This record gives sequence, C-alpha cells and structure tokens, in this order.
Amino acid sequence: MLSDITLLYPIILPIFFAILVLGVGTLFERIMNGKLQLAREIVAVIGLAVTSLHVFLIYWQLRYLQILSDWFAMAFGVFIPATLYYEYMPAGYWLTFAYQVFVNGQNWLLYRAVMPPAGSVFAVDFLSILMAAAFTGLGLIVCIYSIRYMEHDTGKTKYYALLLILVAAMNGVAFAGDLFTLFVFFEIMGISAYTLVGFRKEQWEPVEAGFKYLVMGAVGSSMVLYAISLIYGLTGTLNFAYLGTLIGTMIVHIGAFLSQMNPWALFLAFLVLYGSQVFYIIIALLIIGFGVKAAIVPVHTWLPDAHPAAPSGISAMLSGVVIKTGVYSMARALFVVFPITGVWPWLVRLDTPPYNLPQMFPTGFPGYSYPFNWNYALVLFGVITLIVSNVMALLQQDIKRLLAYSSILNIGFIMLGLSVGTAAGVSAAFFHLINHAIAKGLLFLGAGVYLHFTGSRMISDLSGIGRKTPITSMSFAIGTLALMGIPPLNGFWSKALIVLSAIWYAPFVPEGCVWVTVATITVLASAFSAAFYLRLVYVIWFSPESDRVKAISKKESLVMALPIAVLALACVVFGIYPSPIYSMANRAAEALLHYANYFTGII
Amino acid sequence: MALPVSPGLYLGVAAILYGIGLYTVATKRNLIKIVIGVEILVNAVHLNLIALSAYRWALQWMQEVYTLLYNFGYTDPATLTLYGGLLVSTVQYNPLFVDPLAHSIVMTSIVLASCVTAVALAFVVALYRHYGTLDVQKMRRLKW
Repeated sequence: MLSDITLLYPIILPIFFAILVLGVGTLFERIMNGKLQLAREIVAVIGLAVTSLHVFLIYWQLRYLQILSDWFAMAFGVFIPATLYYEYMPAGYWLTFAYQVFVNGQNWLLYRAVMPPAGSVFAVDFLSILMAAAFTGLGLIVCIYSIRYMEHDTGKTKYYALLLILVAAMNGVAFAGDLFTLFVFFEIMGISAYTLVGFRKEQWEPVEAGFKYLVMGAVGSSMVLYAISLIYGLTGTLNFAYLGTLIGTMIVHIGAFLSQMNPWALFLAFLVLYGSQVFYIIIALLIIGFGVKAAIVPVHTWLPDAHPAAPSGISAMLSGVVIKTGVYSMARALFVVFPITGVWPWLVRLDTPPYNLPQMFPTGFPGYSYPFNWNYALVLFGVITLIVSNVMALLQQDIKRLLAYSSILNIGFIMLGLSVGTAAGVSAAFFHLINHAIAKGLLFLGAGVYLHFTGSRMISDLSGIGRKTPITSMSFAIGTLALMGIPPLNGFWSKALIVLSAIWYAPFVPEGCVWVTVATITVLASAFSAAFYLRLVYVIWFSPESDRVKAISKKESLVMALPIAVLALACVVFGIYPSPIYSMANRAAEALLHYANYFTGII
Repeated sequence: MALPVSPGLYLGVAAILYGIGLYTVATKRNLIKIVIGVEILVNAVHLNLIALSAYRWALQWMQEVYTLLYNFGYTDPATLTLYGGLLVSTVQYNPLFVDPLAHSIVMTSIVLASCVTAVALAFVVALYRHYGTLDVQKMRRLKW
C-alpha cells in the first residue's frame, strides 16, 4: 500500500489505453477497412471506466487510513517526532506502514522512486483524489458522448488517444508531490489540450483559436517555470513537503526573532526586506502563470475563442476540468509553499499548523504568523474576473461563447473562495469547483447537441428548440438554474458557503471590511448573472421556433442525451443531498491546509 | 578554494532574455517569430535554473540565518527536533558542488519545450494553408 505502483494507475492506465486505441485504430483504418465498428470508442470508454474504478479504490484506501488513524489518535493522543521514522525504516515494510498510519496519522499515500529532495515524488491526499475523481469521471462522460457526436469526423483514433492522454496528464497534475512533476504533467496536459482545440483543422476557427491558446499557454508555462527556478534557487528543493517547512518556518522564526529587538534583529530585518522582493516576484509569476490556464481575467482571452472552436465534448472537458487544473495547481503551490497571513492564528486556524504555537511565540509576538498576503491579490483578480465576465456574457450572441464567459465567472467565485484561506473558504471553493464541473460539463454537452441538430451556435437560431429535444433541454435548464444558484440545486450551496466563509472570516482580521465587500460582490455578481442564464432558458423553452428549429426532423439520440441526463441528475441529487461532495471537499481543504501532516510523512 | 562568483550576471542575462522573449511574442507579426519568442522565453528560464544550480547563494544565506537564530538563543527543542534533520540534509552548502537536480529538470523541460514547438509549427502550417500568409495582422478574425 505504501510506495505502491498501483497508486499511479490513474496515470498509467489511460496512457496504456491510449496506446491500445492507437493500435486498434490502425487495425481499423488500414487492415480491416473499417469493419471493426466502434472498436476505438469501446476501448477508450473501457479505459476511462477502469481508471475511474481505480480512483474510487484509492479514495477508499485513503478513507480507511483516515478512519484507522483517527481511532488510534482517540485512543492514544501521543506525539512522536518525525525523525523516528528513519529508525523504523529498516524494520520492514509493515512496521513502517503501521508507524505511518497509527503514529503519524497518515491519511495520504505516496509513491517515490528516489528519496527526496532529489527525486520525483507522487503524493496522493484527499485533495488529489477529489480532483482526479472529477477529471476521470467527466472524461468518461465526454468519451461516451463523443461516440455519437464525433461519428462523422475523421481521425477519431487520434481524438480518443489525445482525450485519454489529457485525462492521464490531469491525474498526474493532481498526484504530483513536487513542483517539477506538476509542471511536467501540466505541459503534457497543455499539449494535448492545444491539439484537441485545433482538432478540426480543415476549418479556420479551431486552428486560429488553438494557436492563440498555445501561445498564451506556453508563455504562462514559462512563467511557472521561472517561478519554479527562483524557488529552487532559494531553497534547493522543489518537494512540496520541504518547501512547506522551509519558507514558512524561516519566516516565522525570523518574525519571532525580530520581536526581541536587538541590533542583529535590525540586520535581519534588512535581509528579510531584501529577500521578500523575491517572494513577491515568485508569487506574481505563479498567479499569472497558472492563471493563464485557469483563465482569470487579465489573461483570459484565449478561453472565449478556444471553447467555441473546439468540438463540444472537448469544450466540456476544457471548461469543466482543464481550467480547474490551473486553479488546483495555483492553490497547491501557493498554500503549501507560501502560507498566508492571519492575525490570531490560534483563533482563526485552530485546525492548521503550527501546532507548537506557544513555543513559536515565546515573547508574545503580537503580529502576523506569516507575512504572505497573496490572498488579497486573489481577491483583486477574483473581483475583476466577476465584473468583466458578467458584462461580457451579457453581450454574446454565440451560445458557446456565452457559456465560456460563464466559466470565467465561476473561476472568479472559486478564486474568491480560495482567497478567504480558511478551511471553510477553501472547502467551499473546491465544492463549487466540483459543482461547476458537473453543471458546465452538462451545458457544453447540451450546446453540442443543439449544434449537432441545428448546425448553428447563434442563440437566435436555437429559439424554441426545447420541444424538439426534450431530455437535453430539460437537463440544460436544470444546469443553467444550478449555475444561477437556485436553492434546491447544487450551485446554491457552494455559492452560499463561499459568501458565508468570507463573512465568517471578517471579524477576525483588521481588514474585515474587505471580506464583507467580497461577500457583497459575490452575491451581486451571482444575482446579475441571472440575466444571461435566464435568457438561455427563455430562448430555449419559451420562444417561438426559428426556421432552423422547424427544419429539424431527427429524433434525439439517446447516446448523447443519456450522459447529459446523468449530469443533470447529479445536479439535483447533490443539491438535495450535498453532504457527500461537501464532506469530500472539506477533507480536501483540510489536506491542503494541514501541510504539517503532509511534510512529516514525505520527509 | 576559490570563492564562487556572484550568479547575478547569469540571472541578469536570463531576465533580459526573458524580457526579449516577451517582447517578441507580444509585438512580432510573423507567426514563426512568435514561436521563436516562446523558445527564447523557455531557454531564458533554463539558463536561470542552470545558474542557480551552480551558485546556491541563497542556501548559504539561509544557513547563516539559522546559525544566527541558534546562537541568539532560539533553541526551542521541539523545533530543532523537527527541522534539525532537514537543515543537515538540505542546507549544507558546498560552493564546488553543482546540483544535478536542476540539470535533470532542464533536460526534461527541453523535451517538453520541443514538443510544444512542434505543435506550434504544425498550427503555423495549418494557418498558412488557410490564409496563404504568416502575418498575424491579416488573420485576426477572432477577437484577439
């Protein structure tokens, strides 16, 4: 279980099945002359189904680890330093494992080929597995949908192989335990995403949008790599666990030392001021670099072009999960490497380290626990994102372009949830991330059905299509209402929790008015977004039929309608009974903020 | 033993190269030049990584800070137990030692960058087939 290669199956299996798809596709195209109907599709769907199963198994492995260690902690509340770990290592595999689970309270799994800090590390905790579940699950649904949607396209072998590699790379980003492994999988994900956006290369629009996405994505990736190189120069390692100890504690120690006020302290203050400029540069590069993939506003311009140009299944993947990978990487890098500010951390962050706080502030150091306040930068970007995307979405005539701006809007909500930085805010952000993946996947697949039937993406051409495609349109309406935040559906709970977490945080910081403003703007943006969401519902169900809609003679395809209906059902079920997803998001937020748990194990 | 030269020269050159790359990507009209700009960006970062692998001044600085803290009585046993092993393993500074981690990173990153360039050039070929030109100004049908 510990250091087990099966942990990497969510990355290895899709790549294996991608190779299988390429082989079957060659057989299909060259040798059998197209006699193996649906062979590639079936292989791809089986591959993603098996991968989903493995993600589920790893989730339950983690869950049982947590239950075991919780019981042990309740029985014997002891603390043993992490250095003892090395003394147990020679005693054998099972003793090490028992030590990890029962004494260290391990609730993550690890695969490493070389001991850190030299090697590449995969570490799986609840956050990783939550993201991997979203990636693989939506990948499976999109793959089933594509069987019918892509039936008249050529080059489907490459399409399914690239889709599988996209899922594998995203799982790799989620499972990475050091910054460079994360970067490698991020680039692989980017390459397959650029190629899939430009998949229909015989038209001008996908090629141009794909090139634009590629240039912006490559510049963003180079910024991330620049930040990685500077972090490496500061600390000599890229392992998340080491970084979490190094920079955070260095700053805390220096802060505690400064409170003693002596000449050496003044000298150190100079060094800190000098060094902190580098931290600002690194944080800015990380936010902008990952922000390009996450499509936060100043660097969002590729998204409204790439989403309409891509095939609809790929739009659903891009909007549902690929941009979330940027959010995930940003959160992981920033929260673990640069822990954020908080006055009275023992009140605000009872659930987060440092646990040995009384010793850390021996002289009653009154100020901040950590000097990093990049969460205010996220607030700024989040608010700009909300305003710009709301305004731009109102102006759109193209349904997929409107949905693309709606994705940017929801990235703004997620960024504001993350910027609160408490367990409540981060778990609300990840809860909204999952809800948006479900609902926006649904909406893009629905837009794909409309495009398939009418051949047009203009909203005016779709008026009254609801009666021709009842299952899809009913699901589409449910997804729209869920993103709008109508109470019985899932989007309501996550938006409400983001607002509430900002309000709960406000009394604990001197900048409380900022958080009240954030809550207000979130509510207002959510209310304004009803304008374009309701327009979609109105046009599709209540408008007179347009000429293109009248010309539809085909019946709704069940292969395309079923994945959409499943997603709509998920919206309703998680709206009425949100606790499974919310408790998963809660555990994910704890895993992100409890990096002490993380580093004592990996080191 | 020779004292290590400051890495500032290399870091400065890398920063200037990065600026040149950003300028190229932002202002050039030829698609091939934009792709070259992306390559310059990535290679500037590679230079930065290699320079930092040879001159780890920051590690030396950190070691001095920790020593200073220890000498001035910041000797909390719990903290030292937790982070002591870490300091011994990572903050040992030898000016003649070049860290291989950065080199493996740069080699992997070169492969990734060449993949991105290959995809970019494929896009350029497709764009040339559609428009018969490599000028960005003439193909801005999307709202750039």
